[in-house]
Amino acid sequence: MEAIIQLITIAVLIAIGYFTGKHYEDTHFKSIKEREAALVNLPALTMPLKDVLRQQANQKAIERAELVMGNIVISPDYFKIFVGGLVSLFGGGLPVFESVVDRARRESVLRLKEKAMLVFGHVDMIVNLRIETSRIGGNSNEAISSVEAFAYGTAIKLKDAVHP
Amino acid sequence: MILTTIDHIPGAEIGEHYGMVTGSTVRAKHVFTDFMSGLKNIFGGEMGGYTALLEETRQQSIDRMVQQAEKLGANAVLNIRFATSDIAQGAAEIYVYGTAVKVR
Repeated sequence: MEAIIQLITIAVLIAIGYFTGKHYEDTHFKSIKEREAALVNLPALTMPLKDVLRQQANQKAIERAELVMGNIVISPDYFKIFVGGLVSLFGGGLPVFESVVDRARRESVLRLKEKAMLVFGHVDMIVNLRIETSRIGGNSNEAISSVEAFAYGTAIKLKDAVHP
Repeated sequence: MILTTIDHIPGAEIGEHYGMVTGSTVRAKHVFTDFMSGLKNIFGGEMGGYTALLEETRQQSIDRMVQQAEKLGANAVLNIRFATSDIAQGAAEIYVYGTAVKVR
C-alpha cells in the first residue's frame, strides 16, 4: 500500500513538474527572445578590445571601459530531473538539460547588457566577454542541483562625438 | 578604482605594476532559501534567492580585491577573472583576481 502511495506521489510530482516547468520555460524563452531582439545593436564579443578596434576607431575615442556582470541560477523541474535520472542509466543526449543551461547562459548575458545600459546610459559594445557555468548543490540529501551562469566582460562607451 | 577585464585602459598610460591582487569569499546558503529552492526543484524556474546570494558574494570578493589594491596604492585593476567552486556541501567559494596598476 505504502509503495503505491509513493509511486502515485512521484507520478503527481512528475506531472506537476512537467506542466509548471514547461510553462516557466516557454515564458522565459519568449522573454529572452524579445529582450535579445531589443539589444541586438549591442554586440557582445569574446575578443579583447585591441582586436575589435584595430580598424574601427582610435582608442582615444573611448570614454569609459569598465567591468560589468550578470548572473542567474536556474533549477530544472522534477520532470527533467526524473528524465535525467532515467537517461543517465543508459547514457545518451539530454536535451531536457540542454535547454536549462541555454536559458541560463543567454539570460546571464542579457542581464549583463541590461545592467551595463542602466549604469552607463549607453554602451557601444561588450568586449572580452566570459561566461562561467557552475553547479549549485541542491538539497543536502539529494544530488539534485541547479545551474548558475555568470557572464562578465568590459563595457565600452565611445565618446559622443563618435556617434552618428 | 577602475576595474576591467581587458589588459589596458583606453587612453591612459600604465605607470606602475603592483602584481596580482585577489579577493575570495566562502558563503553557505540560508536554511530558508534552501527550503524554497527545494520547492523550485519540483516546479523549475529561476532561484531568485541563490541568484542574489551569489551576486552579493561576488561583490564582496571584488570589494576585498579592491581593498588590497588600494593598500598598494593602485588606482585600477586590469585583466580581472572570476572562479567559482563548490568546496563543501552547501558552500561555495568565489575567487576573483586581477593585476593592480597605477594609470595616468
